[in-house]
Amino acid sequence: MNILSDLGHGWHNVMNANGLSMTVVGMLIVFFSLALISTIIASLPHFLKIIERYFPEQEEEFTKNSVKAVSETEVVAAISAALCHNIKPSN
Amino acid sequence: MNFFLEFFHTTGFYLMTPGNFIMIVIGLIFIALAIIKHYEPLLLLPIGFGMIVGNIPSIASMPLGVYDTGSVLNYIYFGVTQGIFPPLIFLGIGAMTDFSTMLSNPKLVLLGAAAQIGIFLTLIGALYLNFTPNEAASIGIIGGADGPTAIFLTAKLAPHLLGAIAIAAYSYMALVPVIQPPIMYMLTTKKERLIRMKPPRAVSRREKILFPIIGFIVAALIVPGCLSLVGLLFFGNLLKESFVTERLAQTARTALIDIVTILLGLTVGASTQAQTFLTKQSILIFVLGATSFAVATAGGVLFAKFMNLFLKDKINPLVGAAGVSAVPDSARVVQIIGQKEDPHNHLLMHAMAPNVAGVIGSAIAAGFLWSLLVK
Repeated sequence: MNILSDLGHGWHNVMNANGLSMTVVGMLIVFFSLALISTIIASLPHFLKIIERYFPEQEEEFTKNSVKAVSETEVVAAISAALCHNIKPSN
Repeated sequence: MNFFLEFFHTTGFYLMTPGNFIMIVIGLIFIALAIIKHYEPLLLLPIGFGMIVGNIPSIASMPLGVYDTGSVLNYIYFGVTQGIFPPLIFLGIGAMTDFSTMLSNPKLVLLGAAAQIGIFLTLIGALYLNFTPNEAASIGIIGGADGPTAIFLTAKLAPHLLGAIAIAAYSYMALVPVIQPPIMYMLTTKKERLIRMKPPRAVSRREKILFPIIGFIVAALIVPGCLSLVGLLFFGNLLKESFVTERLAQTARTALIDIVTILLGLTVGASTQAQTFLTKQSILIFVLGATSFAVATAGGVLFAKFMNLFLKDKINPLVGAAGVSAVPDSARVVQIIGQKEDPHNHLLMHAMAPNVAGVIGSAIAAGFLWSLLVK
């Protein structure tokens, strides 16, 4: 049993459905869209430099609901405490 | 005695066909892979169990299956057939995605574009095999390596293939660590695999806020068909990056995405009833699906090598394989292969850039195909 011959395969199917045009145009559109997004991303820092002259970026105000900034000292303290806990001999 | 016989004729034992039995065994294999091997358990376990549920036969007068109007599964399956669940999953994905590696090195976005060649070359292959254009587009989108996108487009263009395509898409996503490495080794030299890339720059908060807004407007204006997928992806990301809607972002990336994943996985699995799934078409869909993944991987790697002809700061071509938008598995594969060559070469964050770009690219490709083929 030949699955391919059962299904009537052939390049005429691709041509009839404009498969090649769909592929070329589709890839061009995907590339163009992502290239445009990529260009905008690359220009954002320059654009933001101009904005920041008039509206400088403020330090985040930390509220109860925002992500808490952790100082390096606190991180070192936490790591040390964890290490001490792990190497403490069990009774 | 008659009552007993009548009842026996309504049981699954009496109505079971060999096809149902095979599908139940496949469902059990999926569950085993999920639990024992930890292969994509969040997807394979609901899908595997759904396969078992969908292949328990029942009499025609009892609406129980996904295709039976009025059944519970049918009501839940509405979210799949009407394209509701995939955008909601994208909302959760957006709320857990960090685009900063992509923002810090925008040229890597093009690798995400290049990997979408897998979609279109597979579309040609499916047309060659006498699938209709709508079916071919739905099969091709498997190459986007994006389950929600594949389900979304197939629900719009070829809903009768939803079961086979969804299973193929999610199965191959789980097999990314198996499919990609041989292709990556074949298309790169040892010297290329050792390339170290510049560390990504720090990205400001304003960039992270502006990107989802601008990215959505650009993508949706070019291809309005991608509006629901890309829109919710970027909306979820904005919820995360704005820091003023942390509760909403938290819900989107935890409870919401988990609920939708459960319902989608279970009903997609249940849709793979033996009569609709065990066909010659399904075998071809699986073969084409594997091809599309392979072509997409090759496309990303080869385009990275092409870009290196013009770049001073070279891209490690392995990173191109992450343009296949199986986030974060394909980025992880790049990291593992890179570290096999050089344990101090960390490619994961670089690979995340084309990885997330590929999600956007496959959604744009799906929107394009839907716009072109919708009646």
